[in-house]
Amino acid sequence: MALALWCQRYSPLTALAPPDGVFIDIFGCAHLFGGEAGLRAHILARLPGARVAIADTAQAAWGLARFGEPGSEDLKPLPLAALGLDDRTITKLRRVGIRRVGELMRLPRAELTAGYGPEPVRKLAQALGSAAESLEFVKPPPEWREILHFAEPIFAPAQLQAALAKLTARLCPRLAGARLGATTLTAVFFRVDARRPDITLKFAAPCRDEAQIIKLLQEKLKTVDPGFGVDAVALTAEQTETLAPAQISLERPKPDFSKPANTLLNRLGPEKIWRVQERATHVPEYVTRRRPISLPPVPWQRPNFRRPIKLLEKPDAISVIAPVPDDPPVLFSWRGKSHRICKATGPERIAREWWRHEHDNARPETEKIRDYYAVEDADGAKFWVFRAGVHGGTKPVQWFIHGFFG
Amino acid sequence: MTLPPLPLPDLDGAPPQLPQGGLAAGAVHEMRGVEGGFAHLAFLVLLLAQAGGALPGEVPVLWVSALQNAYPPGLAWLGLDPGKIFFAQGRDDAACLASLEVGLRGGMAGIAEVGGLSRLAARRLALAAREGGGWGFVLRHAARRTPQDSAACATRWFIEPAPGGFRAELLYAKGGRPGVFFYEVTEGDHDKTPPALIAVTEWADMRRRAAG
Repeated sequence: MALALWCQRYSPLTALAPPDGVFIDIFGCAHLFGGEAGLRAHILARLPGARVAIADTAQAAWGLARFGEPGSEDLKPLPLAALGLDDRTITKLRRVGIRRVGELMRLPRAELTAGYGPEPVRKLAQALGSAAESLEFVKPPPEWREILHFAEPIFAPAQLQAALAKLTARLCPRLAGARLGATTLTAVFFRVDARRPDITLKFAAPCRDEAQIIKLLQEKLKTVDPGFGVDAVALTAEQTETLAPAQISLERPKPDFSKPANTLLNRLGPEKIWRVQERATHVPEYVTRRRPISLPPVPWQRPNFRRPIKLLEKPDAISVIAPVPDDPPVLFSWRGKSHRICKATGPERIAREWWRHEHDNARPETEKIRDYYAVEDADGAKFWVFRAGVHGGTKPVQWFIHGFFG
Repeated sequence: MTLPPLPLPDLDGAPPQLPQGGLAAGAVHEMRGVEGGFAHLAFLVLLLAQAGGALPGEVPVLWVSALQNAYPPGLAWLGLDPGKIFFAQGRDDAACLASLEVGLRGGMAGIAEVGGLSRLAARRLALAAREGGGWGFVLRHAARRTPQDSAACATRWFIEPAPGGFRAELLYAKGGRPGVFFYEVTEGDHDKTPPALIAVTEWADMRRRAAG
């Protein structure tokens, strides 16, 4: 389906050819791509590995694409399956020595119908263009797209800004009419040299506020190089969601923070701004999951044990003086600075989640145990340190710093 | 919508000498700490957590940093719900401050962890905060005095860890009197009560409590 819609760049009439094909009606369209050969090359360049066949009828093109030599337009050497006949008919025909379409074409049509039913004759006629065949063309979804063409190419930033403002002013009332708001918006600039730079806006909440959209578009306009000029500008709401019309309320309006959120989302990029959500795990570094800011917040359960406010991305090794076997350290040094420990709480033992991993006899689970301590040094600075492994294990224990309490 | 100042815990009616009795909304507050420590951050998180229930409306918090390594469970432990925070990562200090400005102008409360804060940047943030009406917090690892100090921020603090709590030095306060204040942090328990900030009169008092 997506492919059929994609193929509408070649012709407005495309249809599905199950299971994995697409019909494109190129009548009157091929010359736009430099004739049939040019069109074929164009498609193959964009869809490498695709089998493309051009023929006078849909049935013939279907057969050629699936069974023919690439580039050939001759139906005669194709196997009978190329006509889309069912297996029983093909077996029956093969029994009397007919294997190819060409051999079928030589037979008298009346006798063929009498012997094998109407299907072979009908399919053959469709392939040759003497019988009608109906295709169900794919209808594109309603397009939230506005386009502006210019008689002369434009390139001045002020002109481009004006074009964007005009397009927004056309698109937003249409969205409002359908009670929709855009969540993804793309502006495409058609340059005279056939390049198409674009701007994509993402929204934290569905939006159809003209002023806001124009401002965000203008902010990103400097990333667009108009080159020798722009012929046309198109603005498309790629993704939309329902957005109820604004209502005038007597109560104090609920403050709306989507505007700064949208600005940040587009300035920093969708990966650089997020909310957090808890993940059900004990391993400290995996507890946090990022979630897009367009989704509503999920409250975070207060943990049962003390947790630091800063966590190092990777635990950092520290050298430690600690009584064995399982006391907190009395002194540790990290990055050239030593800290004398005054207070410590712990240990809190966090083991690896063995049920998530393959069992490995060479590395028993005791190697993966961490005993966490919250320690406070003489200055009052608090750290989260842990001892990896246990005394008497196969490997000597190692100490790490993992976070800061303040 | 006018927001009340962020309250500071006080003892015997002796809060830090601030005109509004707390950290004013619609303004930027700078908090400094020593290199490698995060006492200033913990202090701020505790303040926000304590004020959490008392704040009208739902003011979202934007938290920007170039190295975003805030640990949500730790914030939850201190009583601040990290689910409501927008975490953002800027390329550098300038991007972080610009993001904070956007958030403040839109009415959010904002925290930025940066290395430097120029006078111009501080002024811009102050204007944005005044427009939006939220609180802006700039957290830095810096000395008590730097050449770029300006009066654009409503308050400037230097927070150091102290045994059992914080030593908070109010370096500058618009319309207020600077001074040194001590806060103790109560131990939170495992189920309901998050840790709390309690003002104590002096260092010796705090030492005694820490020892006993």
